[in-house]
Amino acid sequence: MTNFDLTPYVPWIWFSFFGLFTLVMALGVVFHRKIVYNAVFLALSLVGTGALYITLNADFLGIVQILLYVGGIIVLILFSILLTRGEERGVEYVNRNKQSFWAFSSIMGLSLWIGIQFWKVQWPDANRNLAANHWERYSEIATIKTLPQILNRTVPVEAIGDGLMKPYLLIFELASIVLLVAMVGVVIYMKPEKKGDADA
Amino acid sequence: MLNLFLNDVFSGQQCTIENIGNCHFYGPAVPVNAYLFLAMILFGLGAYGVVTRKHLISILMCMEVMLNAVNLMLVAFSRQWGLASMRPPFVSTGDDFWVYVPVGQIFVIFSLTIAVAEAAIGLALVYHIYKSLGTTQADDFDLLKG
Repeated sequence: MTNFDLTPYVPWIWFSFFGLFTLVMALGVVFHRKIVYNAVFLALSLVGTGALYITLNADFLGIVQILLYVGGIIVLILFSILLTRGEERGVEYVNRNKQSFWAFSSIMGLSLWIGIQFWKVQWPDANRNLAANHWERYSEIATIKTLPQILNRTVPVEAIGDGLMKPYLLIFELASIVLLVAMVGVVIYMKPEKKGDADA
Repeated sequence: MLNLFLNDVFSGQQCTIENIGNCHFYGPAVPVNAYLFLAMILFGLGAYGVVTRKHLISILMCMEVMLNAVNLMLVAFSRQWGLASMRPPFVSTGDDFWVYVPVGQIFVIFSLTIAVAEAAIGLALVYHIYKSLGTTQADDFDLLKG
């Protein structure tokens, strides 16, 4: 064992582990031909994304992601797969041809290019700038010493609740109305037809 | 070295060199650019799947992958700009204090809501199409002679 200090690279290790996991599982979602496997790959990809949220100091969102997606949407998708699989047994038609190759190269090339542009951007670090200004003005005050420790902590759930209840209350209520409308619409849509209706 | 990986993920402790065993984010944080790059790759994969898959539920799942990429971007931006320095209100003196403004995370919550509604309606549509046409392959929908 060498004496190599690994501690500065721990965030990178977490990020690359969960990022690669999410990416490989998304590849499984897109490229695997069996649709039940697709759903399982999607569940694992969503779990990886939740872990990435936790590495971004958003613990609450990570837990909500796993609860809502893996507990709700994946179960819904699996149920609808089981309800709709017919004679094709969940295996879809072969969709590899020249057009799919060109679609893959163009879409992935475009997104890679945008990703590289994102990578090259020097973002103005708002927190650092604020810290610098703070340091210039109040360098004798001891509270600045707690800033790196604040930056490394998770965002408290109270802040999210404050945001939901104070400045974004209207959007919150509108989201609840959207959910209600979606629920009522699905119930009406899936209602069994009456005998008088001729065709669906 | 194994302790470094097996430490408590959910400990919200301050990260100093003394309690490094309890701290999982010690060191310079991963820049937001890396998360944006990963999210762009995920978004492109999802878009490719939406374009080329033929099973309707597969298309919906690829759309979920795209939505997740966007949510990841929002959370990354929220970490970058989620802190603000504030003055105490109505007081001319006193220290500034730091408050969390997690707007990105709040938007992710709204996005999750919309994603849930979209999944419910989309799967209901798929089931209805399956009941009326007997198939879920997108190539078989030729009622409009497309």
